[in-house]
Amino acid sequence: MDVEHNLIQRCINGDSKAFERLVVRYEQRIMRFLRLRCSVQSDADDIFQETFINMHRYINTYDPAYPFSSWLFKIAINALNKYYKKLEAFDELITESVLQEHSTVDNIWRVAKQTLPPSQLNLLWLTYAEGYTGKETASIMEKSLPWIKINLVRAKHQLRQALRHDAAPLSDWIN
Amino acid sequence: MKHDNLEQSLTTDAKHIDGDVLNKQRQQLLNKVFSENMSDNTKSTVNIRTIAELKDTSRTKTSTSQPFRYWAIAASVVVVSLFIGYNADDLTPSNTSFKPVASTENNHQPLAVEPGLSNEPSNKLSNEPSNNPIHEPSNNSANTMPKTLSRQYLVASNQLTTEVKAIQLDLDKIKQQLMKI
Repeated sequence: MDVEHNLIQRCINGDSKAFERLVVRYEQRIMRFLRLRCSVQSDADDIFQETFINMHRYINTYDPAYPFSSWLFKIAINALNKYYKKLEAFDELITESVLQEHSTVDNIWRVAKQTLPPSQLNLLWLTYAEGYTGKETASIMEKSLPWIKINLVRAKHQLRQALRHDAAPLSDWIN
Repeated sequence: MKHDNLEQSLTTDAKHIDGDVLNKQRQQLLNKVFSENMSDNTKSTVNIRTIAELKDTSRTKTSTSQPFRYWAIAASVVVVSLFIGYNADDLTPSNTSFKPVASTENNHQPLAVEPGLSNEPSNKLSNEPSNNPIHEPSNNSANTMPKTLSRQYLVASNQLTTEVKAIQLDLDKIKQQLMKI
């Protein structure tokens, strides 16, 4: 944690090496999340860049009282929303793309992506893939704790139902 | 279906999603951040932010992002206000008919001036003599009008000069920040 704080301080002071180390530290987590959420790889790449550019731009506003990774995920989600708002066809893109892609996400998350709305998909990812607590997830998603709890239950319920109707290879998940 | 199985699957399967970032892609990001963001965007944002702060403190509206323009506008306002304040001492008494009347009549019957003034059609001063200290019988009554006016101008100019000083201090801070960058 001290190393991270040191890197952040150096990054604020304009140290490019510190910035690079922060990128290396978090790039996989962010890219994994973006690849799940994005329909096309190029979209994920664009949002990935935007996320870290914004991180660099606003790093002086980061509050050390909160985990840096959660702050970064907040930026990523904001960049994601902004990107798709610009495209003005978020829902269409999701339904169209999920049917096409199998290479990167060919597991339970594929079903989750097909089934759940973006906010619930984010919620599931932050909770189970990233391991954030309800409070931390609420902070990242800028939602209330009750909203997080209710939607987590709903998302899991929906996912279970979808898995029951899913194709053969994924039926193993519900045994 | 067991409750834990789903959650465990979500956790383990998330790790199977490819999150690798190519070196080329990372280098591209670094280049973008340190070529564009550092050189242009951050400097311009610094300027915009500081100007926005100046806007708040001085309560003036300038759409420019260059500090020197702001300074020039403020300085010109001060110069103009000082010029008006300086001329007010000379111009105000000569344009009014109070000065000769007050000096000649020697203030014994100051209200006798009013009929003469009321005959002039466009003189607004003739309608407001009752509250004006110039009509009170005193030896310095002729000079009170310009003095009150000049006091107002002096107060205004003092306020402006203090504001300009405050702006100048802010600009020095901005310069220091820019030097650091």
